[in-house]
Amino acid sequence: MRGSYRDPRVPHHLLSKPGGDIPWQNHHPFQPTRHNYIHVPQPRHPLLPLPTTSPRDIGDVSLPNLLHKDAKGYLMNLPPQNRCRAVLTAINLFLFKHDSRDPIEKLLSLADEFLLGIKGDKLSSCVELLNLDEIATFLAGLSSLENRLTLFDALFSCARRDPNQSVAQSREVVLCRLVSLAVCAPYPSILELSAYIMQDQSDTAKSIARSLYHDYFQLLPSASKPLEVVYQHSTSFAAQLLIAYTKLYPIFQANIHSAMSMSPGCLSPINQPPMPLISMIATWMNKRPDLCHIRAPHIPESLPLLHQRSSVTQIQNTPLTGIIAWTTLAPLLQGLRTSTHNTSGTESDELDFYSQIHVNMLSAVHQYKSNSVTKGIQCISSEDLSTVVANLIGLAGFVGIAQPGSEHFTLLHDSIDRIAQSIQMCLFADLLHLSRDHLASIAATLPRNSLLDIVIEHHTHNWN
Amino acid sequence: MDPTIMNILDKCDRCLYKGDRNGAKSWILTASTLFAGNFTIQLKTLFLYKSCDDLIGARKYLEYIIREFPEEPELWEFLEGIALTLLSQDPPKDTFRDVFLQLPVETQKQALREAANKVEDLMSKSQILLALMTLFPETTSMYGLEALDILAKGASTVNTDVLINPFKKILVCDIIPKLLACNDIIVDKPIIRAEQQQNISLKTGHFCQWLELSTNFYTIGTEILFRKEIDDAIFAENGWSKLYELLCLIAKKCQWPEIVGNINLSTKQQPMVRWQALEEISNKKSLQVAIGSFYIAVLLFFQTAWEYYENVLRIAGDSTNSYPAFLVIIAHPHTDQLNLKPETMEFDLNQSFEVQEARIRECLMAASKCWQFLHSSETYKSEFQRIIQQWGIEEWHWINLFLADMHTYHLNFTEALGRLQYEESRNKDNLNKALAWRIEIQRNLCLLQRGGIDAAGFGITKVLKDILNHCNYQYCPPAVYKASNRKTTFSLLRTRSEDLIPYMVHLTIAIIDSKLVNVPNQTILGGLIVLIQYAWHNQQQTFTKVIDLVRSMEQFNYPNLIKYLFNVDLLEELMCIINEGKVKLNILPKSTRQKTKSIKDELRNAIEKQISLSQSEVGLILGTFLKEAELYAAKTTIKYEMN
Repeated sequence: MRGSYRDPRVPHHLLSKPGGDIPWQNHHPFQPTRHNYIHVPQPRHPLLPLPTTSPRDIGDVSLPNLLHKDAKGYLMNLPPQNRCRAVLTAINLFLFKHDSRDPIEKLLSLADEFLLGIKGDKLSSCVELLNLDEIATFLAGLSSLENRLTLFDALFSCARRDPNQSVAQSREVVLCRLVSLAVCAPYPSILELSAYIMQDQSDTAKSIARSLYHDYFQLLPSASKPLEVVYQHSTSFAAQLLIAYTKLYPIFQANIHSAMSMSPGCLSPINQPPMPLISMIATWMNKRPDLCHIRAPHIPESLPLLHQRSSVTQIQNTPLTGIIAWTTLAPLLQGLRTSTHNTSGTESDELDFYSQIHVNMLSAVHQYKSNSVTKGIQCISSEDLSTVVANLIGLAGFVGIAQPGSEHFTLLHDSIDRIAQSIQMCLFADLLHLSRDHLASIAATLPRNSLLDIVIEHHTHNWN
Repeated sequence: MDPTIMNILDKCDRCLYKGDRNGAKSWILTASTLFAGNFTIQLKTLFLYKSCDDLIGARKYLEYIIREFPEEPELWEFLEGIALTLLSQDPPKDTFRDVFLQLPVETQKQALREAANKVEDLMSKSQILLALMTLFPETTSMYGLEALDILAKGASTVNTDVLINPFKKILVCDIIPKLLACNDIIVDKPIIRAEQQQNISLKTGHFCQWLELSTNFYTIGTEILFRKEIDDAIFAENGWSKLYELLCLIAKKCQWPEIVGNINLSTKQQPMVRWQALEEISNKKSLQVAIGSFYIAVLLFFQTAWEYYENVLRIAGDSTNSYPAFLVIIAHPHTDQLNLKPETMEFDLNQSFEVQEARIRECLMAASKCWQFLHSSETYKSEFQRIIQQWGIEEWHWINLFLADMHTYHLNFTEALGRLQYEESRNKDNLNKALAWRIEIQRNLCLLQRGGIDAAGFGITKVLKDILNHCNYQYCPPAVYKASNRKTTFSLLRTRSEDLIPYMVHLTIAIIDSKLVNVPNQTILGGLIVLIQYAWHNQQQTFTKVIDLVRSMEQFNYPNLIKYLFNVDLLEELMCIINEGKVKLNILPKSTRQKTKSIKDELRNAIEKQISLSQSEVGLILGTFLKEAELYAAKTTIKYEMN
């Protein structure tokens, strides 16, 4: 913790309280109260070097002790702040030494136990938060991106080395807490580093997304502001979060198994994003429409990452596919509500949010075309498109409007108009590579639509 | 339009109708990519963004079309429209001005520059360049001279019938002040436009040319505004001050320290203070000062001459009953100093007039001084003659009238006559009646001063008859010509008919009086008797002289004279003469003579009848008398050429 008192930007909900009522619920989350159970931490010793100091300054002194067999004893005798920084400095020093893996494994094990609390004795919430803040500060102090990324990956990459599932889950939980802290503080560098992991590890990304929604919208809805403006601190992170949300809440999934994997125990193929979330994303898209085509950050090949990276695909990982899926399916939500008699006053607002997201996405792709210097990089695959269309047909069938003459058949056309608009815009911007036949075959699965016909005809001329 | 496009636009409109702005934008964006080469669709997209109050979207789209459609004439036209709103002080709300101003600065510059290059119309070109310079003053050195050339070219294409040349207007009101305010434009320095150096070196002559152009523009514009033929705020806000500001900028640019910061030269000062300041600096022997002094004199001359004209010669109103404000009187008719000497010249205004006497006097004096100054050396004279010829000043009605007054003031009657005669002949059919009278009276006064008494008498009587024909003259007994006690020889008289007629009567009496000899022409004597009645209070001496002349005769023949007489005192005097019986008065009309009655009875009856005449009848009598009397048989025509 910085300063003589706890950092007011850190929300209380990041500190899990062991049982009992939550006395601060009726207060502003950042307002300290007399019920606050957190002990005021000691300020950092003024003689201690700042984390931005070169790691070797401290590491040279403490390294032999950390590699000694009684390293734990040595660490236990250190003040908490020094303990954390000593381990981080040592890891950072050994990460780039390829001659021996033993010391680094030992140091990482120490970090798991003393810094993250995922091994050995469980850390108290307060110590855990202090450690996370220290980690964030230490990482922010490293000048090189490669250095930061390697250290972050070593500490938090869930796919790296945990044979024990529970340890992996614990590590993911700690990562989620760190990201939550980084959103609130904010720590833009942590957000950027998280984006690297999120683009690579889809499940972790979903966990982070779920955790952030829980922290900022469910636990304390009034404290959602930091998440609402997170795109200001890291667009990469916001884009990866957006991808995660579109995957977490796909509105509808024709493949029921996929649906169940998203929401275990839920047998319904309907999985809509919650209203506050869609409102927030509409705001993001209003402010930064280009979020929809922001690509995942590039991981330098030379990095000595400890875990195995997933294979690189030809399709750029952007929120575009998920957004197109959302905005295409959204008009049918109206039919869904009618069929389930579930209508609310906020329904029109919700549809309006999707409408905003759609037009901002179109506008951003249009701008992308006129601004981009590189061409031919796909952001959406034909398979993705086929999936969206399949889900569209599935949802239409689910709400009973797939047949001409049915009550809300026009809604289906609204959806087809939207996907036709999206296809046209992506083809125009060269973000979608699609043969004429493929496009025609996709269109053939849908009811005849004049705009889709125009798009196919238009691109037939262009292809010729 | 292509039905496919129509179909999509129709869907867009339907969305708008339903209030679904996002839907409408989605459709139009799709259309804009489907028909990416169709600029009309692109513009529609831009307009839709604007109509949806999406300024950011509109800004991005405008940037897009500027980049993607640089060769599109519709885009240039559109940008020209934006340029006009940028120049407007109070632009309409529903324009793309704000959207344009949101664009990156370089894009704004580039767009306007390109549009100015592409449009062919000279006015459009210059307005776009002007907008560019207004928005980015640092570009003035780059585009100012180009705009100047374009406008000069455009100005030469405008028909001379056009009152205010629109190209000149932009040139004088916008471009020249911008160029003068630009620090990169310097005078007579050897640094020429270089790649890194943006300084542009011009000769002093260039700046003087701009000043001449501006003086010409504002002088003409002020006069046209005065005639109410234009409604232009530029002139209404006092063009002279703006002209002085330009002069100061040029003085600063040309480094004329005597002029820069000399507050006595400011238009806020009295004309004579300005003249004295000019006189003071002109004594310094320096070429730069000489050039500066010349232009200050030109400016001061036109301004003061104009102000004099505006106050003295203006035609009030625009109806046929309007009059020039004042008439220049060279001599008071009751004085016997018809032949003036220059040292007797005084300037006098009747105190009852509403104008500021001192101001008018100052204007006349300062303009006269400037005129003399501009003719004081061969160089000045030739330069000023060049300006007069280039501007066609000889054809300026108001300046000719001013010069006539000015020459009259200097007793240079030949010059004055030349100006007046030229004006009269040039505008024979177009002159306002009252102004024509003024010119005619002034011309005859000049003639009188040159000794042409008969010609002047004829002319003045003619004008008096003309005035009486056109005005419903109501004679008022106390209506006397209020002459100043001073021996005024140059004064101004209000030219309303009620002021003019008594004056003209006085003048006629004075002229006739000067021709009276011991054995007078009886017609002239009779005329004098009639006219004296209209100036009774000021003509006692003449009356005594006339009665004495009648008494000295054996017989006074003037049939019909009685019907022109109405003054009781005069009639009583005549009765005395009749009663005395020494002079045989034959003044009754022949047709009314009755054999049965004595002449005395008839005269008494006639006199009683005349005494009962109403004032309007008395007014009418004067006109009838002048028509019938034929005081002057013929006009002596003398032509004067202007020097």
